[in-house]
Amino acid sequence: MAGGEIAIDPKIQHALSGAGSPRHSDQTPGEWVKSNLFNNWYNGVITLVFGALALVLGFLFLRFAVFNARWEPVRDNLELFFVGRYPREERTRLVVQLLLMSGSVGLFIGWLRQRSHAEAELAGVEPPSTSARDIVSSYWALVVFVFVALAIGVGVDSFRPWLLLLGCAISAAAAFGITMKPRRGAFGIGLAALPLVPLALAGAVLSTVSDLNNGAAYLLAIVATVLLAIVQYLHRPAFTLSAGALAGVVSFQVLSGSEQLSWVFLTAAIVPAAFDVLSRVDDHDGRSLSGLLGSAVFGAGVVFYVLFTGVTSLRLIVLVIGLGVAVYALVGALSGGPGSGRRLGVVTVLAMATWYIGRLIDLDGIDWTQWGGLHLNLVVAAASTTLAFPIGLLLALGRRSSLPVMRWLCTSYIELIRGVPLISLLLMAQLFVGFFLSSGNNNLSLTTKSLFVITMFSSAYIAEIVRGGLQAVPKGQTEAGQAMGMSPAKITRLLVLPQALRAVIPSMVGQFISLFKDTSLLTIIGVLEFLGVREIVHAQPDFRGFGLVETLVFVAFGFWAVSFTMSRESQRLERSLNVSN
Amino acid sequence: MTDQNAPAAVFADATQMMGKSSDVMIEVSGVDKFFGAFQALTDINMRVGKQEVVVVIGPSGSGKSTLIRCINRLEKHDRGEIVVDGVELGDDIRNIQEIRRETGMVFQSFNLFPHLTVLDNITLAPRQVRKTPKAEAEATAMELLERVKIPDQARKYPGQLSGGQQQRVAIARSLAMSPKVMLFDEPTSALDPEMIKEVLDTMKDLADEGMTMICVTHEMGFAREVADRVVFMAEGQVVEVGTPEHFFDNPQEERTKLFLSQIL
Repeated sequence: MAGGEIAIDPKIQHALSGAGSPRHSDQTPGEWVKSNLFNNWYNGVITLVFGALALVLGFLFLRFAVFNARWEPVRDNLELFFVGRYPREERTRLVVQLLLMSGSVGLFIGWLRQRSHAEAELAGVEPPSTSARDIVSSYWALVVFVFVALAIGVGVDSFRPWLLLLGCAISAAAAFGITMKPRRGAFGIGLAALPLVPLALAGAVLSTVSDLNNGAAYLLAIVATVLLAIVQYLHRPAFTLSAGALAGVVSFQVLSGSEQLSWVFLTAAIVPAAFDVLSRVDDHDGRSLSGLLGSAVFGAGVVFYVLFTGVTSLRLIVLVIGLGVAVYALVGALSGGPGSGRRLGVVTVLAMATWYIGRLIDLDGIDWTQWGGLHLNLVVAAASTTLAFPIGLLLALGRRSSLPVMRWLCTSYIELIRGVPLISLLLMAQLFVGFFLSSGNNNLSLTTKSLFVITMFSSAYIAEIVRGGLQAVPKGQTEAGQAMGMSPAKITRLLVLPQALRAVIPSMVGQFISLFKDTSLLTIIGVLEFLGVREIVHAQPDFRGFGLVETLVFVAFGFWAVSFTMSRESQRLERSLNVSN
Repeated sequence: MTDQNAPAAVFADATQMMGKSSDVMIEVSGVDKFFGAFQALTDINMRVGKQEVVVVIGPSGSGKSTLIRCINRLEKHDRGEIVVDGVELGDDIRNIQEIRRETGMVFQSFNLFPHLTVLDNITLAPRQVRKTPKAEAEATAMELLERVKIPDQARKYPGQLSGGQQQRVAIARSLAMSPKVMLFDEPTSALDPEMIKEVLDTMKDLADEGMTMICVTHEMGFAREVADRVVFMAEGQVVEVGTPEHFFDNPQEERTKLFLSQIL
């Protein structure tokens, strides 16, 4: 029978298909219940007992939530819970941020879709489709939380929050629409221009941010619209990715106004599109020359930066490292490498341009010591996730290094951090992180310090997770790379790491979820985050000792909704990556 | 009948070449290899000429795989000398990399990269190691896939192919580096019986095109048909060497006779 077939273990096949429950399409719900819940007497008993228990508990909770609970502390302080003590007159910034973030999310989803479609087209197979059911099962918790929160608060704040929600939905949908394949002809152009309208409007909302002058805001809106039109016209994943990242960076800018590192993020956002352009004009003959030029530009850029901004010890280090990289790229270009020098040059030009533009625009923002509530938890969690991941990766590689000193350093760091409770690290940070970070100048905000500590803490755990993944990659993979003369660094970067990281997605996301929940500890060192808002609420004369359980339930619900969504998304990611195996 | 000019058909050691050319490609002399206290290879002497096909057979644990893994330094030999195409295999990483670039290897368990498409599997090393431009590397890869007769699988992932197809991709992947020597480490042992032939056919084509090959295999039919020389190993030593005809029909050593009686 199974003559030419490769035998696949049914368990593996089941895992690959990713089905949670083996529900066949030809089964009616009634049949499914019968064959899965009442297929024998003890299963039937278990179903009945636990079903009854769940019903009772659900009923008790609902009775509490709908009839007995006093939601006034939450209702009257909804803003406090979400954004802390963010200056009232600056709230428009948050609105702009939400709209831009929604647009960014829409573009990112569009990017994923474009990429998977491009891959499917190359492979000559049907593009994968995401069913509405998948999306609902991923996001229902978050949606329910937002709706419940708004439903509780709507008595206070009329319909404006709902309008904002609608605006976000439109922004996301419009941004996603832009990533769809453009149609040809006049009708196509009209259709293509349609999603640009609400986005241009959203951009114009920028003008309402009080300290940004109107001309600049309208200019920004026009630039954004033109960029999006380019994204739509070219329909290339790299441009979509860049546009999405740009929207994210700008949304953060609107809030913080910090120009300190913004050029780094802006450059990082534009890089995919720039490299995409490079790859299109890639001519193999001019490779060395352009690489030469690129690394020269990079070297000049580093020197220029250090001289222009004034020499400090830190910048001298930057100078040395930068020149080292330039020389490396130069050598690569001379030996006919694949244009790494040119890439460096492009990155430098971008960085210098964004840095200069950043100085010109000179946004001033709201310092994040004034941020708070769930907003702060999300920002701190996102920032330390982004920072801790690369640090953890390097630590894991360092722990497996063949250089003993490197190995000892990384191992002792990891073991030291993992052996200490986060709370004690946070308390220590409150007292003396400043000594380490800025010599003698201890004016770092508590928020910055705690971001630092959470990043250090998570990176140690991430290092251990990555190490597990590295060990799971079969030795044959390394051997195959070695046998073809690949260098150890390339074997790690191109063969081992991609497989290791895929293998540890579930535990990695678990770590990110626990990182997000750990941000609630910031309340102990006096940062006003989501959980800590409760203390302020219950210090108010109206709510002293009143509705203590209700506020706690609300906060727990918020944490759960975000964590659950992350967990569901990771499962989806895992399934979509598993397709290739 | 074998060539009358050939000295003897069965030799005491493996240094006498039987190929189409008298140039030496691989020279192994006095090689010992230990795994801890266990001696895996004892005083191995062997020469492989350009375009020669040598098949190494022997019971499991006899050191066949260890021997060919020493030739591209996947294992480090403890004593003796290995020279591949005039380059001595020492501790100098540049020599090792040079030899590895010139030496293709096909593994028992394929060792394809599961996260890359077939095409990317094949173009990875040329692009990363030889710095071949992408378009050129892909054109070469497609030619190689034609040669191993699976051009239509280029955009699939290894997990979507059958074992035989995977092993042919692995062969194409090694060939993409245009090696001067191919090492085969039991390439058909992990395959279902009906897929063995397609891989052996590919290897036979390769031998016909004049590739220098060392194959560790249990496929006696392949050895008889394709090999210029058969090397029999047991307990880390070369026991007997000869042309396939003499080796299979007229073995001299008791150990060889015992082995052949068990498998034939």
